Amino acid sequence: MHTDSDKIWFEEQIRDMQDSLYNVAYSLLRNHADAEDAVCEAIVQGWNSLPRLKDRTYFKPWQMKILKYNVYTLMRKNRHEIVYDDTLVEGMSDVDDSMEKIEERELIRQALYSLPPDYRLTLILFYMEDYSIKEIAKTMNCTQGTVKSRLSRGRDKLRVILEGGANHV
Amino acid sequence: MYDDMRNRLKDASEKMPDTAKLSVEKTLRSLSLGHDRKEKNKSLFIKFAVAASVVILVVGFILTPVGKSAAASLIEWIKGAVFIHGDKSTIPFANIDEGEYSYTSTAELISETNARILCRDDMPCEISLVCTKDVIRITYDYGDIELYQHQTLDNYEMPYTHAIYTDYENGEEEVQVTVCGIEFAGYASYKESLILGNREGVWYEISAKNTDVESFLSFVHELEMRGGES
Repeated sequence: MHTDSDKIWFEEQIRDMQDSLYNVAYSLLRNHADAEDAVCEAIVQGWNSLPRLKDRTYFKPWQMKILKYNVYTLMRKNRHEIVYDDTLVEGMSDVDDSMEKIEERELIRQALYSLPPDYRLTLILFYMEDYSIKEIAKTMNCTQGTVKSRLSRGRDKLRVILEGGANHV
Repeated sequence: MYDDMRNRLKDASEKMPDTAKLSVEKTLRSLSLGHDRKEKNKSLFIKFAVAASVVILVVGFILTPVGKSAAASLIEWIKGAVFIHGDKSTIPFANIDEGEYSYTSTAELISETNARILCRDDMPCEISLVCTKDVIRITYDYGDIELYQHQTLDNYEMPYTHAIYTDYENGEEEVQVTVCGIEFAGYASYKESLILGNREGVWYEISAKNTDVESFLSFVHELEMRGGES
């Protein structure tokens, strides 16, 4: 049963992590509309399941785990009809930056997108969203050892791609 | 070096567009409270109507000759089930994890062919497992359990997906798994057991032939012992 204070608390948590949720969703789906849908769906599911969350200190990885499930499901469904939408949308900061910076950013993004989803998600959570190894393990339902190994291999792969420059991506 | 990687990746973070922020706000506003009176009354009314209909149907059925016979059989079955289970309605269920630590879950036998696994981890994962002679269905709140061949235990990063395996060897049995409405098909990699796991390496090993409680229990106890050793 949800209470008023639950709702206030939940809204605060979601507003706090909405950028992270969107970044993860878009980095995996690469489509703004799909990412938006996945985030909103995950929020509704998180709210409905909130009474079952025993320890709210784990809310962040728990909510991210719900999003991950939605995104992976969408990726499976869309496997044969992926429509990438890398266009800039109103509210995104790229429009204010120099061309050189935009190009550099795009190179990193394309390198990241070329990694397998599990490696991509691990790198995003660790480097972009500052998740701890433990939190990533919770989110991805794997051991901390697996997270470390994915981080290491993901970094190596990313480095190889970036050092190869635009030819690799 | 790591800081450089972090800075470059952070800078490449996808910024949330205003339209998406609006959608999130709309979604948050649309979330309803559980104690909303109208919803509560509506829910109570529906529950009452369904319960009344079921009672009327069951009583009507029992009054027929076929119904009397069926009711008698059901009572006998329940007696048998209670006798078999005794006070062992909850039994430990080992969850084999190759990593640094292992979880232990609790499997609750609901009936002869049904088991419910409640993870003791602090994440809210509740798994309903239904085993019949040749079909195993799993429903899982938030996770993608997928079929793995036994040998992938040594290489759990192998991305076995929910493909249909057609390569039959050494008496392997075909099984079907349904996760959140998505059907998965594959085969048991062992003659006596089936390895199920999500792709990140959390493993559930269950018998593919648990057609009776005793064999399931013995298999679970075996797993429990193996789990204790790890």
